[in-house]
Amino acid sequence: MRRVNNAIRLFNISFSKELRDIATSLSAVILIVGGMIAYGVLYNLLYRPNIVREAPIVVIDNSHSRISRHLTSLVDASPSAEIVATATDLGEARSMLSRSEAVAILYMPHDMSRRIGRGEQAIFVTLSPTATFLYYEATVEAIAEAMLALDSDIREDMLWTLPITLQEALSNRTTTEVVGNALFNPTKGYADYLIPVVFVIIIFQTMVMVVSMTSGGRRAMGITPLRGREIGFGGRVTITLARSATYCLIYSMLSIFLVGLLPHIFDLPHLASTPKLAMLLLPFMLATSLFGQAFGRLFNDREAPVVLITFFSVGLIFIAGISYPLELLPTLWKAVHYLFPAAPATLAFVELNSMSSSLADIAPQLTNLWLQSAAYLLLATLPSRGFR
Amino acid sequence: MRAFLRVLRREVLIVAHRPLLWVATIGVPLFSALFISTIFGSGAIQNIPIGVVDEEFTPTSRSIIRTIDSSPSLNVTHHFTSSTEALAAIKQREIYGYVVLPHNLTHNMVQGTRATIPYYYHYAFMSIGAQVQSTLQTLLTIISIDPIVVTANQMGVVESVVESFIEPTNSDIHPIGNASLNYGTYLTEPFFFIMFQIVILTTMVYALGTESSHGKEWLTTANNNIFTAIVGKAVPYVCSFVASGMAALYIMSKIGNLTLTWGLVGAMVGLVVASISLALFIYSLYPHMALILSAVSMIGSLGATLSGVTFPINSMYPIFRHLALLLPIRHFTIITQNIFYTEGGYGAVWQHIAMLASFCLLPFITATRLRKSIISGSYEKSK
Repeated sequence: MRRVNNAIRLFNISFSKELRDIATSLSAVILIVGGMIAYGVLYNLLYRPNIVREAPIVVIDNSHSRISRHLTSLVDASPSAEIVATATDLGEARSMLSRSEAVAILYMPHDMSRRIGRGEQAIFVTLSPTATFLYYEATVEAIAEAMLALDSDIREDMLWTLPITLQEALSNRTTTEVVGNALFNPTKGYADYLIPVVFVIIIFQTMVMVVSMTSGGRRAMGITPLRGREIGFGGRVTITLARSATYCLIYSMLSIFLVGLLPHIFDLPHLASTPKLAMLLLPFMLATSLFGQAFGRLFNDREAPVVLITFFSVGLIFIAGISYPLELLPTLWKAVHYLFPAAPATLAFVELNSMSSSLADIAPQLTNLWLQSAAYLLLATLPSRGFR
Repeated sequence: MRAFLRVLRREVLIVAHRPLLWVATIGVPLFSALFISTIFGSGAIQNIPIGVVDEEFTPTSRSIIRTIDSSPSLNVTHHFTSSTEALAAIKQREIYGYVVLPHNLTHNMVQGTRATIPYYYHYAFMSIGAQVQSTLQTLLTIISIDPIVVTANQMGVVESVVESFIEPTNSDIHPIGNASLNYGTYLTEPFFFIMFQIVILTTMVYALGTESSHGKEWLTTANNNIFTAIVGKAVPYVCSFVASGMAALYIMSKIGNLTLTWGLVGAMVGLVVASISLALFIYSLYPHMALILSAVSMIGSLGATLSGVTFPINSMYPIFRHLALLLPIRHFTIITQNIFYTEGGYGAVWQHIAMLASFCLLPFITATRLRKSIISGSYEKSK
């Protein structure tokens, strides 16, 4: 009983000391509040347009025909693209691409109308740099839509190319429709796809930075938890868990804003119920705070961890398996996916929040996060020397 | 000149005695290059598992499934009896899309009565969803017109004539700079430099911040000339980051699909100098290591968005278009996109070359402020 009381006392002391350390460090406060609130809002504003519309296209119309003008107006009418200029030759059009005044060239050759008149297929050319895939996709979509509408308009003019018997057979039939349906992101919005990923990365990045900065600071100043007294394994576990509890508490409160409120304000996917989110965020935050404490032990100063952790937050987006399918990652990087809490948490968060999956569906990720928590707790506490 | 050499020598010794600076200037860029060159594998999204809900079980429906399966992008791995089953499989990421072949499809297609082939694709994972969608749309459109072509052939009409009638126009689409739409080609080089900018900014602020433990030694070594102090401090980092940037470019060209050009090397040098200058500028404004380190790490991370590689800058709110210009990575991205995609020559991007170069002036604007901070020792007190 006495041991339990001592452990509770140690937990309380460590918890309040960590809370005080965070509250009195301006950089930690800025990282947590700036990260969770400012970053959260800023990323939503950055991707607010959600869908790429009006991709600027330059036209080279060598056909000067009714058909070419009709195609130009159809492309211009598409919500995905906008005709911004007409060029006389390819050189002029390409220089517009170089100056970022247009993102694609629609080239209509001189024989376009003549080919239709002869009953042949008229080919036109679309040139689009792939520097920004979303512009490329918007261009292709606009061209495809315009082409479908144009084909349907001019098909009647081409009936004469078919024998009467076939004309009669075709006049009584309707074509088979092919209908594609986007699941879990019906508007095909980029923010709907990326922002949930960013939320998880923000929590991971800022928490690891603050945890390792705080632990690095303790090492730099030579502060020991029990004023130099020897701490047993149980004590180290208690102190480490108390510190984790501090971060979990702070981040839980701020998560209400980040993953609870912001998706409603910015109309992002929010299909998961609060208990489901809590079941995911708890092991994620625990694993992240323990990872931060284990990682922070590698450093003897407060700032060094920031230098080595920030750059990789960008890489975590790929490791998570959202931007690029997990199944296609090379074995080494697939293995890394299971080592960083942010990776399985991102995948599970998207499944819960965007796909309305059940907890059973994300059981592998939850198991992984609890296992990571155990492993990082061990790493953060095992070697007794240098425990701060 | 002597003072400059003294500052330079001092900085080289500092770097040599701090393993973290070695790791940050050499190790991290090389690791990043290896990571980003290998993370996408071949870069081609192929053999995506998809399912089929075959409500027909006719030779035609089986032929349609074989046609879909023959595509290199798709692999029909699952057969379902209902859409509910298929939806459950897509939620568990066993498949990334499915096609429904409805009852009486063959009969309706042959008779020309209204028929629909619906298909579904996973769009919470955008890259894979887009690939499934474009492949299925193309394949199923061809399949949908097949009965008409067969009927026409039976009546002795040449295939090309009926095809021209069904599709009177066709667009020949040329993706410039990445003909195979390879994911690795698209992201490897830009994302390496996004990570590179982050590590340059954080390392430089760290190197400046650690001066607080040396008092005024930095300034006195430079004969109290702040300009000599700044240049002498920056040069070793410029050299080491340029060297690691060159090595990274070499790695990306050998392992990845990057085409190495002198223009790219020049832009990389520009990015290194501009990022170091930006770090010096921000730190001089408020010499507080922990705070500025937090700030530059967040600013650097924004580079992934504000470079304009993933989401077009021009589609964002106008204010962000202007704010993006405050980051060297934005100018670097425009210059390199010009090299790889539009080949417009340097004349087309001269403003961005000039703006990237003008970052070098920033540290000199705030130099006197930094000097005052060093003399007053105010940054030593920062927590």
